[in-house]
Amino acid sequence: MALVRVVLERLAELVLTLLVASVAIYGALYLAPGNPATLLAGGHITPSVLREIERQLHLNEPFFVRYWDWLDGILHGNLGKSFVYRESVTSLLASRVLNSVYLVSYSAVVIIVGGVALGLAAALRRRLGVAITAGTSVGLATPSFVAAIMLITLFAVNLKWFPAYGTGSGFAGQLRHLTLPAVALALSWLAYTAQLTKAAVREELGKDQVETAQSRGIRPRHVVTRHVLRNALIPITTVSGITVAGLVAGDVVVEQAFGINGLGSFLVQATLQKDFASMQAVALILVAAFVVVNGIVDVAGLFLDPRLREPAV
Amino acid sequence: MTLLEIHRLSLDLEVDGELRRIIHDVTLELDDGEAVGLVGESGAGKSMTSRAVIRLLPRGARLGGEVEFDGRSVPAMDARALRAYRSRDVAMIFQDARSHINPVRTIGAFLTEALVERGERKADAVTVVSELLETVGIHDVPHRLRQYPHELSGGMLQRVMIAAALAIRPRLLLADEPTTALDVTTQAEVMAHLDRQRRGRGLAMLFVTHDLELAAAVCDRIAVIYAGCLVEECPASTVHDRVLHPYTAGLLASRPSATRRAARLAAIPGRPQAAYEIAPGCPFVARCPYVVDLCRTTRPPLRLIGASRVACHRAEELAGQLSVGRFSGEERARA
Ligand SMILES: Nc1ncnc2c1ncn2[C@@H]1O[C@H](COP(=O)(O)OP(=O)(O)O)[C@@H](O)[C@H]1O
Ligand SMILES: [Mg+2]
Repeated sequence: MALVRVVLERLAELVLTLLVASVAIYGALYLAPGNPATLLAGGHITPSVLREIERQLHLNEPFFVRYWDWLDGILHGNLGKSFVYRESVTSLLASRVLNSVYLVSYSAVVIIVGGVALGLAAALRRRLGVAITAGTSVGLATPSFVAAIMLITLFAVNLKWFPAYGTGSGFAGQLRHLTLPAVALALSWLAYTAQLTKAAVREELGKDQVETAQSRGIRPRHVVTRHVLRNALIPITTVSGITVAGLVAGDVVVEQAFGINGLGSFLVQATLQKDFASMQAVALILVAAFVVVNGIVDVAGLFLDPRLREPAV
Repeated sequence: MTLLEIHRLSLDLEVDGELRRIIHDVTLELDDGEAVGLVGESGAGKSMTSRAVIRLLPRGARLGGEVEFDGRSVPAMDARALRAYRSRDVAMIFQDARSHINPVRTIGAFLTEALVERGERKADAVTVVSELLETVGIHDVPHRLRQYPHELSGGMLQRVMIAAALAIRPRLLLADEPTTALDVTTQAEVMAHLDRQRRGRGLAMLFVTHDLELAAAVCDRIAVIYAGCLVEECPASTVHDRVLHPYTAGLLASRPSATRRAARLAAIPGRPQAAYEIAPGCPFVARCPYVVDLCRTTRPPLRLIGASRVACHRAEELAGQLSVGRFSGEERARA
């Protein structure tokens, strides 16, 4: 089966990308200034103590030995030990990672559902299209921190519909707390997705296969779903992937703005405190999320576009 | 029995916000089971005429005159009636099958779509289209049905398009240059399938082509269109012996042919004109070697001469001289 083979090829590529990324992440911090041992001991120590700490932490081993230990640990769920918190990074992240996952997923849903619906409406209804294009152009130009401030002012301070801070508890509470951050994070990407969807749908509307369907008396609803949207889904999926991957980066800003205790704000703290193990772990998770999302989009593209299924030779 | 009646058809399309005349005056009838070839140079309005029959026109198109299918006015149909008409009575075969068949859906989905849409069971539809694929020379059907358009050759795709058209059991086929996009050997093969199936099923066909000889070979009658005007209509059998309009004679002469080696003698001078470019007189006046003053001032009406209708002031007078085939053949023989 050609499809299975191509999917396996893509998965192999994905694993390889992750490996290369992990070397880069580990290497970048290995080369960074500042000795973790000094940091850990806290200032004045004798060289012999320093060497003892270095030996315990395997800091005097060659790069690839240390990298391998690190990778081996990660594969067994051990992300290393934070010298700042004196705690395992895995347990530090455990409570935070979900907050970020919820925020990014919520945002992704808002973007994909909202962006595709708006784009489709804009492409199919001329009048509405003008208004939506104007609205999304503003949205596109609004950075997430500006959106965050505006949303907090309007919906949290003035209207008091949604809380401005924290993560809440229970499903409903979390949903309420995460609504403003998710919208702030989503806004410009939603606008982008809407404009792209509109362009893709317009393009497909002008294609010959649509004319064929009309000439055969297919209902307009089916013409749109089977011969316009189905085909436009290919570029829309590609862009949604880029979008969701972009959210991972935008997440850092929004978590800070709304005081959400997630990976983004943790990364900022870790960086300020030179907490190498934590920085490495978070960076690796963010990169992995990025790569996995792109991998999913790649595979989705194979299912959506039969022309891509020919195995590369 | 008259199946399709096109009466004084005119068409204007919006170009840069202005209406532009595309078809001036086309009157044409098709009987049940009859094939009519609509012939003319590129831009003459052949495609638009055939599209007017199924009302598949660009946004903002203004249709004048009347198109009646089996006594029903096509321009007057509401959306529902138009869909029913398109899904049961008439089927269009487009020139470029590759772009007209959705690249991301299977051949099977394409073939059965119209049948399922009008309420037939999927399994029955598959049976119908499978048989049709075999009859147009496509074998290994279950495999083909699962394939995507990019996995089939151009000739095969066009046969799929023909099968799809036949599948709805229409009474009229509209074929817009169905073989023009194919290479020469494939053209003959695809045309043979289309011709055989049409005759076997007794379907009427409006066959659009720029190739007069091909039209004469597969059709019962020929309608020649120039700059959006019907200039001549005649039985296909008389085309080689007796054409009445100078433009038809020019078309006949400009095609190289294996049987008539003197072909290029009388190629038409000048470039083809669009409908909106022509003056009030005869549309062909700028390129016609037989022009007289009357041609410049008065548009010739269609007149019945023998079994033909022709729009030329000098038709009777020129009748003998225009039969290019015989004329140039004799010339050669004497030389
Ligand atoms: N969508 C369109 N808008 C405006 N003009 C068009 C459109 N499509 C075709 N035309 C014009 O209409 C005329 C007739 O076109 P067409 O029927 O396609 O010619 P043919 O099939 O005989 O080559 C041409 O002059 C062409 O430029
Ligand atoms: Mg054409």
